[in-house]
Amino acid sequence: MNAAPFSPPPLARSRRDFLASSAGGLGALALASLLRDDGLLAAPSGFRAPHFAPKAKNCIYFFMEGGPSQMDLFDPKPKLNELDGQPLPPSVLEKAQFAFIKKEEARLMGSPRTFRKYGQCGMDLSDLLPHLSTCVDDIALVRSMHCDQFNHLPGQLLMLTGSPLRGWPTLGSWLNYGLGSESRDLPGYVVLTTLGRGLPGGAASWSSGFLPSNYGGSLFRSQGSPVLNLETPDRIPSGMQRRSVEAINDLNRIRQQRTGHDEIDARIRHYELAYRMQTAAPELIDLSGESAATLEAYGVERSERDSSDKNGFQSAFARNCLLARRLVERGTRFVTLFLSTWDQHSNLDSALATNTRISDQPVAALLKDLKERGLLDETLVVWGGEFGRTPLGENRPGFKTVTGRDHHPHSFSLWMAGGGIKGGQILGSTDEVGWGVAEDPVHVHDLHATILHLFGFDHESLTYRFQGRDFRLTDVHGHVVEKLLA
Amino acid sequence: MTRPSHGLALAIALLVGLFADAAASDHWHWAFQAPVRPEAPAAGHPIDAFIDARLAAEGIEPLPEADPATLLRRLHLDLVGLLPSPEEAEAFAAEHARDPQTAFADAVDRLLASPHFGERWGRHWLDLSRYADSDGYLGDTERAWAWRYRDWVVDAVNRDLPYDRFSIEQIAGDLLPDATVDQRIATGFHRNALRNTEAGVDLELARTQMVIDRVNAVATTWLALTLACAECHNHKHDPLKQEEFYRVYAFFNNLDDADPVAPFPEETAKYERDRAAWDSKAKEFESVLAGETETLAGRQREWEDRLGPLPAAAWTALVPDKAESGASDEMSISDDGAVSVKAKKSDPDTVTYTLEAPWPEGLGTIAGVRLEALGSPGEGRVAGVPAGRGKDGAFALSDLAMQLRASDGSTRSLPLAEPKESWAVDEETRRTHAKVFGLGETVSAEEGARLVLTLRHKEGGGTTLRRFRLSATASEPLPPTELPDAVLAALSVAPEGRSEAQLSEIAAHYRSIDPAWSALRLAFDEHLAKAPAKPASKIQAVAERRAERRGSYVHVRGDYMRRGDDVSPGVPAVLHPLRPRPRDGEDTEPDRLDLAHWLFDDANPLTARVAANQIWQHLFGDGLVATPDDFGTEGAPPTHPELLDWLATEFRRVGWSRKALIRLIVSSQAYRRSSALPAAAAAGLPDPTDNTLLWRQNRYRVEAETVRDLHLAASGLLSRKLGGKPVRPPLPGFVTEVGRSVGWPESKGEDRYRRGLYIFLKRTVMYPSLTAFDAPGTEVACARRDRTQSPMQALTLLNDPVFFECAEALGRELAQSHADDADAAIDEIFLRCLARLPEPAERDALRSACADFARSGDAELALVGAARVVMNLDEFITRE
Repeated sequence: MNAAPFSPPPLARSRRDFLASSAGGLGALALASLLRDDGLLAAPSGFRAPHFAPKAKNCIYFFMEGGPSQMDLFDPKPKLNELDGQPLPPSVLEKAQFAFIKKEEARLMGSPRTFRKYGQCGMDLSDLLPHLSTCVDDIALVRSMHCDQFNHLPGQLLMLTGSPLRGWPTLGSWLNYGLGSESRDLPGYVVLTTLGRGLPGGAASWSSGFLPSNYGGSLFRSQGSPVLNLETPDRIPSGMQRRSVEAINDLNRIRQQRTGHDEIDARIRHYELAYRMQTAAPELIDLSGESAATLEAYGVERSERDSSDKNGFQSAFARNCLLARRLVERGTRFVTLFLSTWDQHSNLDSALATNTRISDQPVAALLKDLKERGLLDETLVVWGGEFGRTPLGENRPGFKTVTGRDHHPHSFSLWMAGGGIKGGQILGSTDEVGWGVAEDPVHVHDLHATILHLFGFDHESLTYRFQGRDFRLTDVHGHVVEKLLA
Repeated sequence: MTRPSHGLALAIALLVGLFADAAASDHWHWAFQAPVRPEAPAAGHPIDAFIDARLAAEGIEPLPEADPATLLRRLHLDLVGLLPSPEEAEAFAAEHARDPQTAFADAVDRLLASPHFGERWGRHWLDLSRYADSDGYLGDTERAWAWRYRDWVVDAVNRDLPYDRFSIEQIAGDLLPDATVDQRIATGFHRNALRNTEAGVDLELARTQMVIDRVNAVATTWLALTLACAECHNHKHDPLKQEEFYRVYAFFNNLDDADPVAPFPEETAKYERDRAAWDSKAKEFESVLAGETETLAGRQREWEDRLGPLPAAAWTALVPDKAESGASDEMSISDDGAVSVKAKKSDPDTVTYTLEAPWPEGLGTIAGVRLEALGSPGEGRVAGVPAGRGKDGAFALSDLAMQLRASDGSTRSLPLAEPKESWAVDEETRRTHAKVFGLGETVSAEEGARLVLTLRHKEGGGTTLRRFRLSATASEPLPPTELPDAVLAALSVAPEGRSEAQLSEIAAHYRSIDPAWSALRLAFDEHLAKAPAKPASKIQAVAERRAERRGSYVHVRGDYMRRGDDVSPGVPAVLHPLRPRPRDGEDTEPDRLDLAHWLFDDANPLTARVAANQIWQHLFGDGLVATPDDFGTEGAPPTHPELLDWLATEFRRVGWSRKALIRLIVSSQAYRRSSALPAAAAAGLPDPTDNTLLWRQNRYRVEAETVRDLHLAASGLLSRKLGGKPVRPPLPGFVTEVGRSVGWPESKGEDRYRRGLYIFLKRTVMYPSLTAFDAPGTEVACARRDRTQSPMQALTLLNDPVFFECAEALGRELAQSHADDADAAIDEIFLRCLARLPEPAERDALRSACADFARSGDAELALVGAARVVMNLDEFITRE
């Protein structure tokens, strides 16, 4: 028989590991830097040191929920316009799968948009993106994105977490797990939403999945009290809150002396940080210090001037864009801005006009603002949805006329800027009707591998052990897209 | 390879024989060998014997027993997840001083018998069974009956259903002979899988994902095997082949949802009581109506006598072939031309019915139309139905318009003699009323002509016609309308020649217009409407598919569209063989019940160890195997292998009694040790945080639900109600509105203060104060919760309205009971929250803070503040 059926039990976790595991993470990551400041944490073994020198420090991710239509925004298809009303070639149609389109009667649908070339790089963009067209030399437009998910939630989860199933950590969680946060008094992963119909995944869209929960995103509101439970209860005067935290920490210190347990020290620090957050977060969303020119550039007050914007989305989204910059300035590692919905099964033309009216100006203003402040080099900006839309018009039963497009995972567009991205380029192309990828396909896993690379991580080595397996953002896939790197 | 010589071959054969065990596979691994009960190395408590022998060998002196207050609080937190009341603490201290052993044993017995024990230990199980109250994914539909599984778990734990039966019922309760409702509810374990119902989803993919989830949940929960790693390829580390994954998959591949009506016994009893009372009242009505029948016949005769000469029946029904409602109501047309409207719930202000009918056959001209509003009087126990949909069956027609559509499609309107004439009825609505609309001028038939009739209701409030019929006549002057055609026809037959049907037609009509009868009938109808509804409570269970069974096959690289080899149900070869139970006349392909029995086979090396380890983990914070979800080669080895095997065999020996095993563990000295660290120096340990060898108890933050429960318990707000539908404590809108399914109807009254276990687990909107304290995500079986710390936790404890309400409640109570004595109030807060009195330094610190708070001039607020401080202490949410 085997001589040693049991390897000797490891003499458990070291104090440092313990601290790292109890203190590591999200807002708590701020704590880690605090502990570092205080000499409590000599080497933060809770965080995975980057594998090589990172280009990007922060990421602002525009998640355009629903699937923006690439051939109406980013990928002009003259041939498609020419073939408007024709069926798809049988060779393509045979293998095609749709969420809602009735296959047999499906017809190609051209785009009414006009495209022009912009910038030194000559990138062609739709007339719906007049502001973004002034930033093209900073952005890398990927026209050859593809994935394998037809439906919103699986597609969104794939884009957000690398898996179409629930329960996996989001990109923002991975980066905070890998790098920690640089903010002393704000969370490292913040989520800002401009919601039309609500997010299919709800809070799964910023979940830490199987990573410890403190790597999850914090949902911020852009007005009022920005974070849940940030406001002191009405009955408590402000001086009393300060005094309460002092008393809590005094008593915790006494208990720490009695029991000798380090995690009480960590809790004391967390109360200090929480108290600071109570000041820092309202300061974050207070835009009174921003110049009139900045507010105007982002279009923070557009909704008041546009009576058609009944929900106030134009201003709300502009505010979120400005908050994203303020967060990044304050050391927040990852900001996701959700804008839903881009799911135009019908009324594509008018809805796209509405969506771009909401988003084009503030997104471009953010890019320019980051650049002017010297933040763009270290801030990766990503803009895209979970998939694209079909070159076919949607003829779903019950739709009287064809005015929209169905879900399309086989090819779609997405752009990136800053943070080590080589701007002023178009990567990849689609076939002449925009059905499939023709050149340089980039799968979602490749995108993730590339993003991790920009942050200094080898995507195959940034892992977390869960239920006996070392999981990674890219699962068992992914290749870094070298052409995107500056 | 060259053929060896005979001698060498013999030698090899001998060696192979000698090392057969080792050579049988490269996979010898402790956890795959059935546990053999070891002898305890010393007398006394067997657990202590194992642990102390190891400590002695390492030269480590264990810590002494914790003080009685800490011990009692620990027991309460571990066994019921609640705090001892100050009275319980006092009584325990007194008993403990007299006889520590008995005091402790009594407390354990009391807590194991508490219904809250099932809540606490049931919640541990719900982590494994990934329990939630909604589907997850896009729609995140509420699972209306999921909670019956949760209640089953709590109840099964409370009645100490032996772990083998507890498990078998969850895996295959539906396959047990004469499965009870409870046994079927238990199979709700499988229903906890996430479900993707997004429109346009690949349904077969969504189904296979659920099967895979079920395989993984069973493998994690009972075997601590990472079988999921073999979904796409052979397991990288453990001897599990991909084909074996799909053999286990085959056990679950023919499992269908089953949601039968299964009323609660009390619900059925109540229904039967209510039904009997209702029935007896109905009988009273029937007897009164029967009495009335006697005088009714006389009144009917008088009515017939008064009728006088009858007009000729002169109306021809218009039978529409098209009927539409502007309110998208469903309209149906019967052969006699009656149009029935099944209205949508919303009632727009204007509702227009448009009907198209061919020109009535046999009519050369039309001089007018008749609209009958068809009410039906009740008959027997069938309630009457009024003609209109408004209050008390009223309707209000604003106007009727007619058009003639010629065969070429051109239309022209046919003006009425009195245009825009309205018609409303709000009395005697359960009989038929009629109204005649004359045409301005008689219209003649044309080849292929059609009539288009428009009925407009502009009153709103649902005052539309429910059932009606249109007829036309050529007669002029227009015939009278008091009598429906069928009644008129019957009456026109001489009395002695009338058929049974004709007699009953006349009698029924008369009853509908007899005031006395109608009044009685209306009262009876109202009673009929109150008939108690049959109990409709359902369960969420599974059933084995018998017809059109699905075949199972390997999904190449995990892709169900890439069909690999067919597989039959089976278990991994590295484990003991599965022997299907004998079944008459059926093929002997093993089923889920066989799989469940296999888990509890004496030869199973994992089930008992895994379960004992789970229980140990909940009493020490860490398992003897630190990876409770992975007993494979990549998992942590047991720190005390002999003790684990002893516990595993003991669990089986005590008949799989969870309570017996818990009682055994908590009665050990190892469990009762102090968790404080300062004594570590004396123990001579190189690293005092290392407690692998269990020289002390562990100290750790309580679980998310317990954080809530402690607040509610200490404040006195806690509702101790057991079971039932999940509750929704208040949440701000911006938290609940991020998903697609946004409803969060706030619970009222006592339900606001239920234990964390009962909070609605909505997968797209997990309750934030639970998530902040590491409540599991419910996607997959969770065998070990994280224990993180974060500033969000501090913000939650400081500012969450629920927690603040708790501090307020306690502060308010103390302001009344200890108005003039801050020290007494502080002592009381400590007793209520920490089950101990403050040390002088603690009392000083809190008194000083309290004095500062009191400067606000609000004495109550000062005590609220003091309670809030203590409820924010690390110790409050820590099990020491």
